[in-house]
Amino acid sequence: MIYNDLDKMVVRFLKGEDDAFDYIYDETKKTVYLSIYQIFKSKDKIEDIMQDTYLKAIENMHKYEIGTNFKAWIAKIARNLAINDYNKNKIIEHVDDFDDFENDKKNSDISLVDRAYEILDANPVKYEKEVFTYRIVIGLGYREIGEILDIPKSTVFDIYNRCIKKIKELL
Amino acid sequence: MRKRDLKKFNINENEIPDIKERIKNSYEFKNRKVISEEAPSKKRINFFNRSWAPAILGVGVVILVCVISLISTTISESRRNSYTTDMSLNYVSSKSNLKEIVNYSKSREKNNSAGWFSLFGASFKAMEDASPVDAPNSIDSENGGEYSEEYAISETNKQVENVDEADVVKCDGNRVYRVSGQYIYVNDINSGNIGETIKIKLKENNKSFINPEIYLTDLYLVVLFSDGWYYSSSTINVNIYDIETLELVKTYQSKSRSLNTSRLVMGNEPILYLIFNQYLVEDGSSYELPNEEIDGKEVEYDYSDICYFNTLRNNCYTVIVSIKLGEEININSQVQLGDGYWDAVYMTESSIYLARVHYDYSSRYISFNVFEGYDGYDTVSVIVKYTINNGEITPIGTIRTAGQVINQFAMSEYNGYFRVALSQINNNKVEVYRQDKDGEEYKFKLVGKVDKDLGEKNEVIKSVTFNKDICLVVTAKNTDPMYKIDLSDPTLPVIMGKFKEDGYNSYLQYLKGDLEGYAIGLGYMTEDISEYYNIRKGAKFGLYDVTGDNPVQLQLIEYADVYPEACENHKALFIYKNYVGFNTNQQNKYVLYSIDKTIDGEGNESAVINVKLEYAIDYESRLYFVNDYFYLASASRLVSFDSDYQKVNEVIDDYGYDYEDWYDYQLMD
Repeated sequence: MIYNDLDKMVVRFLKGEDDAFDYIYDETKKTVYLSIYQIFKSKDKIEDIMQDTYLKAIENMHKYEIGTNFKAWIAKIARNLAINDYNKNKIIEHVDDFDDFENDKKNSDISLVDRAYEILDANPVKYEKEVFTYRIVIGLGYREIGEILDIPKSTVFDIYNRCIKKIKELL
Repeated sequence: MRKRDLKKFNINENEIPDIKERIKNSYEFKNRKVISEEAPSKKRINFFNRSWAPAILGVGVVILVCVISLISTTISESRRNSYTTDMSLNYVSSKSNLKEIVNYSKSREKNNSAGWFSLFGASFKAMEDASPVDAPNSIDSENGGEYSEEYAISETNKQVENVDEADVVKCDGNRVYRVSGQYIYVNDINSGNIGETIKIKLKENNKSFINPEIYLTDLYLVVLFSDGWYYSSSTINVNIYDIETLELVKTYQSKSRSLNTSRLVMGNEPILYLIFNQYLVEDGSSYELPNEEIDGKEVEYDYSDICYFNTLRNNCYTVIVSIKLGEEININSQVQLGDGYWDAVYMTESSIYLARVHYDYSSRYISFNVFEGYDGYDTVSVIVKYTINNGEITPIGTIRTAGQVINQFAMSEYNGYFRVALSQINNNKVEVYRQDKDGEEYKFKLVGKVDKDLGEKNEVIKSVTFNKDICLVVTAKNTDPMYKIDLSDPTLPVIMGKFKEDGYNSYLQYLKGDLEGYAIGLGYMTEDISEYYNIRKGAKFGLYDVTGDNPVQLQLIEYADVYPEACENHKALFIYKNYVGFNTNQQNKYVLYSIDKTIDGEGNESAVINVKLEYAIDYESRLYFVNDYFYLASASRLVSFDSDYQKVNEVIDDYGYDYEDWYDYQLMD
């Protein structure tokens, strides 16, 4: 079977090669970060959940189906951990609640991604922000996004089209 | 809008916390499970080092969760066994009315905590004494017809006889037509000889069109292609060429749409049906109407042309266009408000069924397993039926029932009954509906079903095939039970038997003619690596004797570490008389098999698979049989073989991309 490089590294990691984790981390950190960033903005919180995500992934990596999509697999872990944390604490984070966020992001520095999130949050629709993040920012396929969110590919496609229309002013 | 426009949506990677070293120094990293050649160690961390009080509390919480789950599961179970139908067709009366209908739909979605609508309030019990009056015009169109000996030519492997499906290669016995990039390649063929390639460019100055597909009729070569991304809204083009002269005679274009699928109903005057989805675009106080372009001229609709069912999620247009391909080409269309992209489309010569899955969140349950998510929901399908007659398309009604219609093969119309296989984990079923007259209307009635013992624990339906009164269903998590279901009494479908094998079939097909009673399956080999997960290890091709109650596997061919296109695209499979062929993807080898009857050691009739021909060619390739010769075609190659499987002729072409356009094409998704 011809696996992609990430899957090859997962196999090596499962066999005990510590160095393989460097590649796995570098390839997936953006996906993991953004999966959590949709829900939490605090740097500390994101770090904690990122750590939990990787530890959980390491513990269960033998359950990953080689040849499917590792990024989608770990994204699902990150997202579910973030959601569970949110449900437990029910804290809605506002951008201006956090000094560090204010220090890090002045209005002029707000990224296009954050501006897109603002537009999507103004009239929120379920999974829209997630589809935007996974499809446009990370570049996952519809099927993979469907597996992360547990919805059919056709639903992802619908949401994606609505989302594109909403953010078209940013294009 | 191009993907490069969206590339600017990115983040500054310096914002991402770098916790790599922290993880590598963690206890979990250093003491993680390592998989070796030997059996994995069963050593586990000892959890039982707590005092009694927390343990008792923990047990109490578990019991509470179980009780809650049991209650919600019971509610969910009863919902799963209900269905609803809606035959009340309405028409939009005005521009403002369209806005009202869409807003009502949206508010119902938002406010209804039961998801789309509650099944409790609209449950419909099967009428046991109903007898059909003037059974609707369904035709036993599946699996009919024997191979004609007069003019021996194979066809695209399609689901329903006389309803053709578009493909990347077609053959009419005189020529082979192939898709290659931005071109159609046409070659004359005659007794194994292949003529020079004629190249037809589909559109000038077009840099981004995708996925051309072909149909052939006696009069025309029809090519469908889109400008833009495969799944996004784009312009769909239909080019109609004179089959003799290859001159372009008519064009049809629809903008801002996605093409769900198409079919060609054969006959004296073939009719092409195109099924589109078009998203609603705001236009001031309401929404824009759909738009068409025929030979460069815009066709206008009126709001009153748009129909809808109240039970659908009315946030999108489903536009069905019919194009009559006679001496004169006539275009008709029907617009309905409804849902988005249809998951499965089944079509006969007289009916269209569109199916889509929805989620009912009314029976939420709590799951603490991060791998299974935190939301509970029931899977339901909405199925819309139309009748078609000489290009006229008429919506009939909808069925809403639990489970997912996995693909077109999960639906079948036969002898006035509509049969559908519905997949839902631990709740797979096959339902049989009839359209009965109730007063002046026809209504769908559920007359029979199999909803028990179809699938083992945690299994879903992977493949289905209907053949008259029999249905074969494969369910799988890891092992592959193939169930044989008797539908001869539509009110009492019965599981006759089953056969278990490793892996699962993603496609099943009964064989015809002398091989009636046998079936083939294509699918995947899998290996269990934990209780919940498995890995695909390659593909498999199996031959089964399905004459008895329990299917019997006669032969299995395995392909390690490869995945043939035919596992997921039935049109990539060549089936003609006793031949089966497909590209195995092992070194891109196309293999032609024959299935030959034998007598086994006990004197009983059996069958075996023999290899007849192997040839390396592009992954996306098709085989045709014309008057004792085989023609193997791909975007860059056309090869002929004689009846002794010896190569006769070969034509090699460049891929049909103009390089300036090709550069831009590469930047697309």
